[in-house]
Amino acid sequence: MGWFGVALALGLPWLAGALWLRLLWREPVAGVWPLALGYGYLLSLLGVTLLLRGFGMAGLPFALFATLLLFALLAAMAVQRLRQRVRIGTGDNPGVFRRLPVWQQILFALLLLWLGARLLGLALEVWWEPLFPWDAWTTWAVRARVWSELQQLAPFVSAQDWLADPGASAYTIAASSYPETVSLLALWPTLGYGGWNETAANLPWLGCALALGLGFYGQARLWGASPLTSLVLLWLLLSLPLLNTHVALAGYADLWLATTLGLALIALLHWARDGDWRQGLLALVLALACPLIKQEGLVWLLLLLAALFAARLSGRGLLWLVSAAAVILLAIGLRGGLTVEIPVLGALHLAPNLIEAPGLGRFEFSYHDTWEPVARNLFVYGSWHLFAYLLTAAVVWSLIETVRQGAAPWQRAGLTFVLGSLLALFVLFFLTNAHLWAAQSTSINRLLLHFAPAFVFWMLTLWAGRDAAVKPTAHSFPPSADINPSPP
Amino acid sequence: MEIRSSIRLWRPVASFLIAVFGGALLVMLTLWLLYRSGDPLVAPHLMLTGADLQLTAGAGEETAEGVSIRQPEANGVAIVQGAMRPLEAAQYCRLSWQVDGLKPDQQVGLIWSTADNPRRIREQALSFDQDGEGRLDLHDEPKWTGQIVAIGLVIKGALQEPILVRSLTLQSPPPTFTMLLNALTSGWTEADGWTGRSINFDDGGPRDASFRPVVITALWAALAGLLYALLNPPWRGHRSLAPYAVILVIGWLALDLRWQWVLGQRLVQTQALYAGLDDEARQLAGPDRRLYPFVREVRQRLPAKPARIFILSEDPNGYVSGRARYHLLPHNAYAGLSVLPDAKQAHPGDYVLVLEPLPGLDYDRERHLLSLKAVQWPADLVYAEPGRGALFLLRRGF
Repeated sequence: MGWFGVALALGLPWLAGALWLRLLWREPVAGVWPLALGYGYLLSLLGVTLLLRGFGMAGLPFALFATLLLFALLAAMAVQRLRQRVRIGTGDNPGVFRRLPVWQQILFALLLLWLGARLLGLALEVWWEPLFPWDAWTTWAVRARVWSELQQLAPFVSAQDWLADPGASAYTIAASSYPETVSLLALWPTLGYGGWNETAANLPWLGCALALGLGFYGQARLWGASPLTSLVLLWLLLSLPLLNTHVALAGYADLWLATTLGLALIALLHWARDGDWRQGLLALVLALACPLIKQEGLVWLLLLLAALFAARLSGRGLLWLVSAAAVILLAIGLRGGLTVEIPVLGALHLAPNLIEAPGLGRFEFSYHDTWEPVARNLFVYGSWHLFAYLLTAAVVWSLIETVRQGAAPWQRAGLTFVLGSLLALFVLFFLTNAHLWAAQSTSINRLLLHFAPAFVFWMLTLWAGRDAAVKPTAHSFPPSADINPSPP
Repeated sequence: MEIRSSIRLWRPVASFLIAVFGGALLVMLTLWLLYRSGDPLVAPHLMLTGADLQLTAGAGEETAEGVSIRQPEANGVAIVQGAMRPLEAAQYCRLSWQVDGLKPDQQVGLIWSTADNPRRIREQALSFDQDGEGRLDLHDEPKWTGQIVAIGLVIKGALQEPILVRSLTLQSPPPTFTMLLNALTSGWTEADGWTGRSINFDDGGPRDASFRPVVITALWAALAGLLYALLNPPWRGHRSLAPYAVILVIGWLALDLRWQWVLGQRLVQTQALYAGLDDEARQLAGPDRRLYPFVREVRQRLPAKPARIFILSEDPNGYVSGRARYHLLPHNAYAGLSVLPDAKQAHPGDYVLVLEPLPGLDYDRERHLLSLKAVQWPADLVYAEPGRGALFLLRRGF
């Protein structure tokens, strides 16, 4: 089917996902369409990977046409239901922009053009550049290519198992235990193409960046930020050099985890503030998807859980929880360690100087003086522009404000997530063997990338929250003249 | 009254502009003072000691304190070379050195070569005091120009006692405003292409840049913010964060403009290499242009059904073996070996792809026997390309 097939493979699930998400919001609030488009892309493609896994487990060939038909039907059903609703507008109608001061309109337009040019350049890189980065052609794309060419989900095992079983049909890659989701995301559009094609395999990464941008902007508008503020913060996010690089040199899993984790945290903050079950559902689904993308997603899921507890517990409840956790850790330490068998996954070993978790590996604790390489990577190199400086200032300011004025549930959730993430990164790069990743400037920036969208949105909530006149516009309706009565 | 209200209206704007431009001036002043101080953090500075020095002619030892030379070569010459990255002569023209044990009848000279003619050794005689130390300003030396790619000391004359070459240091000259401006802007105007490291981090400027764009911009933003705060003290009711946010945005925009320019340069390179090409043509145009034709020939001699292939190379985890494995997909290849598989790991019908060079590998064409170290396999030679490698089909039985 060639490129038309690729367009269908990426476009139909996207359309279906976006339309069904749009159905969740009966009211035409500001930012709902970008939200639906952003989250819709991510959720629909993750859904496609689950379908592909199902085909594999059932021993069935990839049913491309059946899957496309399914999404086409879903999209058609969604369109039908939307047409039965009141006129589906959006809070971001032209009137909103006309009411802005002229300088803001000009700035908005210029910034939009700048972002558009950036994304166009990245799109051309994806279109022209062959598969480039190391882990892509040794791991993620290897599986995708084998599955694409064999038209089935061949198993991948460790090198040791591969060598020990000459008769088996299993393949081998160094990271055979890595989750399959990202390889399935690369596989899917090549099924639409009709064969292995590196550009087709890389296109989902471009869509991921677009989805991140749309989802971020939509959620920012829903939060109550003005169009210009939302776009400025979006620009801060989408202009990060490392994020741009992960689009241009597509093939790694980090962009997907950054998008999934970021959009999950954003939805969690909305839910913590407004109690909106739709946001809670989005947060839950995306949080559960994190471990399916990379193994460390399981640890990041725990950070989201901590944020959830911080939102729901306060004062005494929170103190009890933290105290209980401290007592448990102390008991483990005094006992000399603890081993827990987790069904299906394996054994979890906890000791004062060691953590060994199934799927994550073994981390021995000892202090490493990694300050210089960490500072160099975050504050000197060009991967982050001024992000690290801004984040530092934001954390300090937020702590001061929290001490001075206390914190609402969503503020506790956000701060807990940010501090928990920074603590997790500190433990990793200063107390474990992963300090080499910092010294060699390999994974340190990629791991920080996972948190970048979440951190930028959190900073937006700080900025928007500093002005008491900014109210959430979750229930702002367009002028009554725009509302048509529903049919009898 | 009108004047007062005008002042009230324009005061924030004026103080903002003062903060922005004042911050830039303060940055220049700070960097000039740092540069002038010779602080290695910013002032170009190359110090070669201990492990940085290597004895390349003569007999002696390399120690932690330096290179000890016991005797020169037969022609009476001993050479100590420094390990260094290429550097610009104009930025490093103040030379100093320390050599212990020199006698008055010995001659010491600085030797170097430049990028435009790396094979030509240039020499400058050096003088030294009784402590074996010396200094020289190479600024006016006509041969000290361009990009220096190698540097060392040559000692001529017989040695009654060992001498110890402790250090060789190159420093920047006292900065002029033009030099400072060049150092400041050089980090903004150089761009490299996509590399294997790009996915992990971006340098944000040349590796040896004195002033990294991110650091300079952060410094400017901090100083401009401080100036604004001094002109509009928060404790006097000027609590708005908007001016500080605008300062940050300006700094971010400056960095993003540079980054967009870098992306543009890289896109031009990508377009030149790959635009309009299909998958196969891109492989022939890119880094695998020498490897890919060989692997393509190998593929044509493999069966249609995916075969099990052992890829042997001197560097099993290296780029070439990994790329060969990728280009052979969906054949079931493993590239992690530098020895032949044993009888439990492979069976007849499997293939072995050898990537040259692989020392010790031998193939007996008459006996159809492939051997490497202690392992032997009956095998048919399927395809061979001298200088690249060979494909073998493992046979049954010994």
